[in-house]
Amino acid sequence: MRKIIFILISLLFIVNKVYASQEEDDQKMLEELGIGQEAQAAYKFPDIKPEAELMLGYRFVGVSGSKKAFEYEYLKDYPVFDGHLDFFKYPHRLRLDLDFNNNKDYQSDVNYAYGDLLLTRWFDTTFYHNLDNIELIDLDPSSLNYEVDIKDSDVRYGVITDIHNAMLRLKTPNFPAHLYLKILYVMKDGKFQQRSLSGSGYFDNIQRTTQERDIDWTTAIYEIGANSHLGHAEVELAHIDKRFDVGMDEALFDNYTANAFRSAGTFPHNQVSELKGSSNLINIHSNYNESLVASATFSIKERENEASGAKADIYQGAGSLQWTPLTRLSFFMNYSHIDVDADNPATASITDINGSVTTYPGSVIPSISKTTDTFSLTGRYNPETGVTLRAKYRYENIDRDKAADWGLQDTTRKNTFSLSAGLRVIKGFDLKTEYIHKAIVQPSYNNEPDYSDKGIASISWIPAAGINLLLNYSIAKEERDDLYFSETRNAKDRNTKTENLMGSGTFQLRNNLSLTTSYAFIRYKIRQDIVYGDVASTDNDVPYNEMAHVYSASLNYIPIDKLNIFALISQTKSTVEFIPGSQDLLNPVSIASFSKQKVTETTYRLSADYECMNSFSCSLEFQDNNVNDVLDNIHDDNQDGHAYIIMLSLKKKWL
Amino acid sequence: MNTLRKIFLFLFILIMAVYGCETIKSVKQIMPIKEYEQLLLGRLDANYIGTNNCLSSCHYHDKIRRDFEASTMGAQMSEKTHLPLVNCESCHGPGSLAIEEITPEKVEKDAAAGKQTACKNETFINLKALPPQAQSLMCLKCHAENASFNLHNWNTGIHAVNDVSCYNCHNIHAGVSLITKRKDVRDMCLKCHQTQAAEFSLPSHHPVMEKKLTCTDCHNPHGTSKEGLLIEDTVKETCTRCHGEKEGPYAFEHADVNDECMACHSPHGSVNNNLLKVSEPFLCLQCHHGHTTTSDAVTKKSKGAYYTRCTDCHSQIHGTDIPSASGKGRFIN
Repeated sequence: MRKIIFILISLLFIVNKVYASQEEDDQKMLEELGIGQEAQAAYKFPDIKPEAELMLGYRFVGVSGSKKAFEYEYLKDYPVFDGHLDFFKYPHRLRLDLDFNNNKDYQSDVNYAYGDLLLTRWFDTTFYHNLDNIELIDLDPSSLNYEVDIKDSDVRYGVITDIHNAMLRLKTPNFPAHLYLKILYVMKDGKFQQRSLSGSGYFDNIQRTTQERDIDWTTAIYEIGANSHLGHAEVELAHIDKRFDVGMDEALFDNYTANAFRSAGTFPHNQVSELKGSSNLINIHSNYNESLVASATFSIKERENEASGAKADIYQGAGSLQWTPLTRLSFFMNYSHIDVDADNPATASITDINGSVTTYPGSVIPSISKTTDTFSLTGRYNPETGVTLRAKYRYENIDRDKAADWGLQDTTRKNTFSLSAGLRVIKGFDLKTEYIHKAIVQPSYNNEPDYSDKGIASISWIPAAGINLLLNYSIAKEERDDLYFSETRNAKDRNTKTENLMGSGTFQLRNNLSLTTSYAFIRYKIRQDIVYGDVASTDNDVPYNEMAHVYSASLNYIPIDKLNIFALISQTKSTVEFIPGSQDLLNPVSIASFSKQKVTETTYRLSADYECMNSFSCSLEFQDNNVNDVLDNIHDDNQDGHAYIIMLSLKKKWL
Repeated sequence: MNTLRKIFLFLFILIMAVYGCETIKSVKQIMPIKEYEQLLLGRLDANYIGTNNCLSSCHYHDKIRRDFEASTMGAQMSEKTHLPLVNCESCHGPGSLAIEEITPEKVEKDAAAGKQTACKNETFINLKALPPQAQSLMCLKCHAENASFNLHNWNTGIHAVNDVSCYNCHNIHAGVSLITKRKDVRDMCLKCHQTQAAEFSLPSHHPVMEKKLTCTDCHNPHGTSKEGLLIEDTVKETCTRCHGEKEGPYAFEHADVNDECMACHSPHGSVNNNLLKVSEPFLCLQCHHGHTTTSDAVTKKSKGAYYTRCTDCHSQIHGTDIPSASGKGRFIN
């Protein structure tokens, strides 16, 4: 397939070269006739002086308790700088943005173009993720089984994520044919908590363990492709290579005691496997400016696990069609076909640190191969100006191979109908509503419903100049009446209810003073029958509830032209509870206590920017975050934390 | 991949290439239907006068003109590139009526009085009042041929279907560069998607509000063949751009759940750790029966092992290549 793609890319450029030559001949003819010269003479690249901006400053931080108060900030005092440069001198166009907070947190975005022949963009995002060290609770240290082994007490975890995204695009002179290269590099480097099961690794000796793990992972995606237009159609061809490398950390090794299946030894666990893959892609679409617009995508992908040799071949074909018979009426059709052919090894074995192999009898459950076909048709009608009606039908069919080995359905069919209406009641007052009904025949997993209904309503209102209000509410209900568990089949019912309410208002109180407030309410409720290995009866209608309130208010004030003040306060309150009914589960300690939580996060932010003189400005930014585990439940994984960041900076602009 | 499929693909591309070459020089229809042509052509009784005539005595738009001419479009639209020229009237319509009463003397007199000579702006196309489809067509009449190919699925994408036009996100006169700055993308998207803004404020979230990641890291706002405007063909492919360690395939799979990350995760934000839709152990108990609850003399200790976080022990839940201690794929290893 790679050869075919290469031949087609070559063909694309040869064909374009021929037509570009013809166009040059045509242009010569036009020039001889004196046509077009006026416009050519008229174009002159404007004289633009470079613009630049540089900010230097220092960031002071303070932290106590969990660093989750600033989950994505590297909490260390550090000098900071930002830079911005715009340089336009034909044929060069350069834009540069750089934000440097510290050596583990910086972003850059560089664009460079040479005339219309070359375009490059490279952006880098590097940030630090503070990770939890979750404490494993030993409820009864005197008991021998169900022990806890904590090897990483007081270790603070964090991982640097470094995302490089680069693009180079070359254009043929005087013709819109392009050759491009894209590279995505995602590197993760740091330490995280690895929780695992040691002891014998089986029920006869359960020992929960937590330890430190160093990672140095890289995901790399390289894409090379070409595109051009061919009359009424545009074509793009691409080849993509993908690699996932684990560096030196493929697996952890620990000592395990003997069990019924293997002798004692030092075995690998929590292996992270290296993966490789490739894709070949063809995109074709017709000209957008016709009453019938079509696009098609074909791709063939291969994925391989280098540790076990597991493979997956994926074929995808997708097409879309838009038909606009009348200005007020359009139809949109989408179809996609995805064929996943998965192949995993037939048997399982494990090799200990000395190279001794334990092969287990019996075969590995074969991976599921499946075919998914999705079709959707949408109609849009505008009976009046300001009124839009839409109706959509979506059908999805999933055919699984070897599904019975997993206790899944061979075929699952999903039908979704939706109706929506948009109405501009008066100028500045817009109303939108939508109703979605979904029916699934033979759902495969218990969290898929037989039926679901969802309603959405939103209002956008500008009652007066300087006031902007938005209100959005959605409610969704799901029902299922034939739950399936692998060992117990008497569980039946599951229903869920999801509610979202979102309101926001922006008020321009004075010319130099504006206030923005918002409130969001998110609620997710499940009632479901669940089953346990040793309880004969089903635990019926077990409730699980999640709720969150998000409040925010911000003020922007410009008391004098040179001074800009911004203040914000926001708070998120969240609760989770799971209440099993069986008394066995409530005594002597309720299993609900392991998941019950109530957390409040509060943020205060204040910034002031003052333009001093000669394009200099100085600024102060302060942010304080507080995470409060309100319940202080020793069985949950939440921890209190408080942190602040103060940044002082000086900025200079060159215009 | 069977041979028949390869042959089919090759023939299809060949036919498209031959057809494309045959029609490459033919005249294209500008707009899909007549009414849009009327909307986008402007006043039929007006004539095109060229940018120089439009702006020679009006310096109010000098910066706009400068920025535009220095932009990708301005730089690419020189005569020698053979691409269609774009100037003020390409979008705003012919300008002769707007300046018909303006004379050099009047401009001079106004300038002496310190005021700008006004055009008859009402004779231009009222771009803001056009239906969204017409607004987009104004751009698509040129951008149907698009170097980045990111409009491949625009027409049937959810934004286009829901009356979002190019104007909602792109301000063509914002400056020289027409690429939306990465640091500005989030605010642009969240102006409309405010529910997602609230989700990003939940205790577990991707760092979008912190401006470390942005919406376009996962979504292609210009349209895709899949729902949700995902940047890749599937949810799994989108997530594993960064989370490559969870992609597989593995020797021991979690059935085909691993193909659908959103079965267990809420990518924008969640009240639970690790963006889980539901907290553990209830998350797993939805599909799997629980471990023993009473067999260990009702000690709270067995509950501590079996009903805290399932992934404390089943730590390779996305798939694994080595068997558990019993030789099965329990994701404990």
